[in-house]
Amino acid sequence: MTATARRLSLPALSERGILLGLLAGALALRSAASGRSLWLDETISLIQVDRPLLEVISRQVDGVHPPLYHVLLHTWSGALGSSPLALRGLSIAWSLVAIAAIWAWSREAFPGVSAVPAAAFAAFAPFTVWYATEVRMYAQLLALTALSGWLAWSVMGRPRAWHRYAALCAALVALLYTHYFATLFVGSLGLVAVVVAATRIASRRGAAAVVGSCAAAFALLGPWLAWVAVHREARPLTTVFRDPDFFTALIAGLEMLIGFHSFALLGLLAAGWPLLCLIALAVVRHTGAPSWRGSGLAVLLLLPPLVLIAVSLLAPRSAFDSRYLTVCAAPLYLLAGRAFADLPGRRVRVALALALAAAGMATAVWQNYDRSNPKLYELREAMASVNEFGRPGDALMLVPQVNELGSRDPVLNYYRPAAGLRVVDTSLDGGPAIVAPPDMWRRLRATRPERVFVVYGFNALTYSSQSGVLTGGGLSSAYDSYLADRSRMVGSLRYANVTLRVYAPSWRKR
Amino acid sequence: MSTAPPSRAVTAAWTAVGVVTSVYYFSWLLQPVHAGASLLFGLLIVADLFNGFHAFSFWLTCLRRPRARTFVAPAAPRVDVLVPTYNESVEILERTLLAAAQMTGAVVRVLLLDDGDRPEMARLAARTGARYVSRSEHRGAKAGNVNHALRTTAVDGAPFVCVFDSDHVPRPNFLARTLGYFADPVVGLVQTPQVYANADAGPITRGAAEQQAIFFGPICSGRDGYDSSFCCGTNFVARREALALAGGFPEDSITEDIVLSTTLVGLGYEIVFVPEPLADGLGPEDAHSYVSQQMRWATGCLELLFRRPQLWRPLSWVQRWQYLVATSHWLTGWTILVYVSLPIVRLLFGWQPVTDSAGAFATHFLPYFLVSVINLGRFTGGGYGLSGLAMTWGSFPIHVRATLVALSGKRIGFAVTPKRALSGIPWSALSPNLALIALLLGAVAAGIARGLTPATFNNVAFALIDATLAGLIVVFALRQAGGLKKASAQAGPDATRPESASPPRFEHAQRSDPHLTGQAEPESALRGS
Repeated sequence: MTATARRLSLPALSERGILLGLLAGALALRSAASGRSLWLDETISLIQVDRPLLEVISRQVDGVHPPLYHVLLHTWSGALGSSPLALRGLSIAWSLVAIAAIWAWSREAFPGVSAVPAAAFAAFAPFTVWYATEVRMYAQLLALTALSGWLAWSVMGRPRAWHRYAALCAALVALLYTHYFATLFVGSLGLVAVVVAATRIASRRGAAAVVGSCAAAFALLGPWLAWVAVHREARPLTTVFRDPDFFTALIAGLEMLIGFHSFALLGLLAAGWPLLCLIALAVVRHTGAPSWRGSGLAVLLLLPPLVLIAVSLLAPRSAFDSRYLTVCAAPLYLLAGRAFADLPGRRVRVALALALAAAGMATAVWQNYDRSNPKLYELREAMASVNEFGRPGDALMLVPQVNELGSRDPVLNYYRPAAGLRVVDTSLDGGPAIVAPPDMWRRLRATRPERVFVVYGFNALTYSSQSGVLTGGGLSSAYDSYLADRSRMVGSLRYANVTLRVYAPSWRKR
Repeated sequence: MSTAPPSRAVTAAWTAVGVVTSVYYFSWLLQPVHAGASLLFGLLIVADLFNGFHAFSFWLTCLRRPRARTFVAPAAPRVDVLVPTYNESVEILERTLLAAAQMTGAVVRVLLLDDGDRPEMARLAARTGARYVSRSEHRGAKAGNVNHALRTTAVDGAPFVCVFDSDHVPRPNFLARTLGYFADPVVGLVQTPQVYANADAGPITRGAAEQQAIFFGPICSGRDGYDSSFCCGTNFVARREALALAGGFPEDSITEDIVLSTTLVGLGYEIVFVPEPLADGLGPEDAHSYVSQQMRWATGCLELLFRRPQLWRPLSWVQRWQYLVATSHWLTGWTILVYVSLPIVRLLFGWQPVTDSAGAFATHFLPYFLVSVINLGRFTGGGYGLSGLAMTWGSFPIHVRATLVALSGKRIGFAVTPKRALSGIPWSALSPNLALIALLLGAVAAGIARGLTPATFNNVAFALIDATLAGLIVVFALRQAGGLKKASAQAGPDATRPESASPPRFEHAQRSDPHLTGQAEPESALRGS
């Protein structure tokens, strides 16, 4: 062990003790941060798994994700129920696995250097806390990425028993069956392993095993992809993302560190990008004699977003979203943890660690209440108001309405309207497309409600309707204008990214 | 963890990427449609092109392998070892003289050249078996001192002359590793690196050591590949006959070594660089020493650039390029001045050099910058870090002052770099840094007061970087001074001069540096095992 490594490491026993403390703290934080309303995608998850297991799997043929997370959620919710905490419990559990896996990976990547900073980043970063409390597959994606990375680094580091190679293969397969964009990570990992095999004789066998595992994982995804290709029928509802530019990518990176906040704040912070230059100058020494352990992490951090950006710019449709960069979070935290361990002075490190942990925890909780957070949708609160103020005979519309896979709107499925309220279905033929305002009005007129409660949300969504592609925002304002022309607005309540408007329509012939 | 030197093939690939990214950046910058305020745009272009030229030159130089040369170990020739002194301490000189006498591979005669007329030097010479040489007229500083010794020993002098500064302690194999190159009759001088045994004395010394490591590492090695090595004033062996033909060391320059080099090349001699540390010196142990040393080197090199065009005529075009890079490096301070002024004028007056979007600037600039940083790290093998960078950046006032002095033709005295630490801080030399920091922070405050927009915050970020880099040298000076004070207090009230903060280590002075191993690693070793 070098003198530097000795200076930076903690005794093994106390490090494990700190890890347990971090896990306990992370669990408490995630429990405290899981009280927010479910949003659209989370309610979609529930609709997708609330059916027999085989149907859960077969429905994903028409979905946008592979089925592993849905299978696990089906089993989990079957055992623990469908309360928000129960549903989110699966992601919380995965996030704890991610913290431990990142700790283990850091020990492999930087032997002799404390893995506590990397694990602490994973425990308290608002980004990981958000996805740890979301009923989606991103916590699972992070955990399997970290597990795969740890196992890959461990077999490339020195010869291991056969079961570790098997575990690596299993982790990679599970990763690919969790999210299609995990291919970015697995592909990058394979590339790193190829370079290691080519340049380091001592690691050649392990690196070859990693390459083989990645290839096997891709091969094992093949049958599923073939099944999807043959049996896919419905066009899934897809969100259209903006083409990425420099600041979009930078903001995605910022979100991985400080979580989700208003675009204005993130845009302001992104303008401070020159500080990246100072960080680069501070670490110039480390680019000089790079070890494969550190360089490989840099490749895993940078290559997936670069590929995603290139694909988004070259393909007809952008696919860039910060969620898909969850595969980069683990390498980011490892490298950040390593840089942290290099700070001079134990007192400086401890003070900074406590400050960052406190800031991370506070931010992680705050983003659940920050109404400028574009990912926070207070649908529960809006529906609670509908149920509180609505009277039998009143109509309720959700705009835009998302009828997922032939079911009713998932939000209305979870946050059920009170009995007596008439839900006006604005879907086109029961599918994900939405009727234009005149058709909406015709459906409303059929029941002539005294009042119409309209919950507007998901303005970022883009839908296709018979009249063409409309953004959610365009649809909301189109509906609002049409209703305002024919009704008196009697109430308006604003929530985080959700607006509730109440109209009293005039049914006299115009 | 593996710390094998970076693969040469990968480094060459990164260099190619650097070329591509720099073309990408300059093809965007050099479009007149992007010009903002004309003066600022012009200054930015000049500064960026200057630094771009230096970056390209650095990459091409560092990629070049040292020339394969004839080496035949001679049969114990005679060598006169000259150790000039002016006011250095007995303790420092004694180490050097004793080590010089123990060099193997030659019959060594050590001469102590005392320009300070100190009796203790005569006693020291007697004690160590060195010949004591002094002179009545003290003209020409170190160059004059050495020339006097050469003249004094003209009759019985050895065919080879070796020069060590008083604080550079030669290793026993110094001559064994250098004399063999003189088997080629065109070799006139063999230069070896300067490394600091006291790099841990404090942040100033460490930064200076990093600067030496980059210069005497990949730069000098590559320069040798272009047949453009030059003498660096100490730790070298020269053919007496060559020195005589060159007329000795020029006494009208404070960097007599590089001027001598041009003369030797003009006479048809070659200068060889041996990339192996063969002597261990003492780096500046306080800010005074550092400033003094940098001022001397900067002024001397810029003098060669501005005022001695005749000396460039005998050089080949490649050699002129290399000497141009070496001398014009000291103009870097002016580009730093341009860079630090840009956020100030933007925050105070709203003027900016470029009108394109912030995203366009970042997209074109960042890849060039980041790849340059990676290449800097790769070529220096991890031996150059923030300390060295901050010292270079923070020395910009020295470069600016040296330029003005060199242009004016004013003579500055040859100030011996102090070999013992001086307490206190050269506030006058560092005052430009402090003034700049104040100006930057004032501009930041003014900008924020007008409203914190993304554009303002972008310039605030640049201003903070500039303030950090300009301020680090001040922090280093304060920390080093603090360390010296502590060491002085520990030495006790009877100590007449502050001791250095930590004793130098002369056994293994430097960590392993891939560019300073003396023998090229075979490719298979670079791949790791």
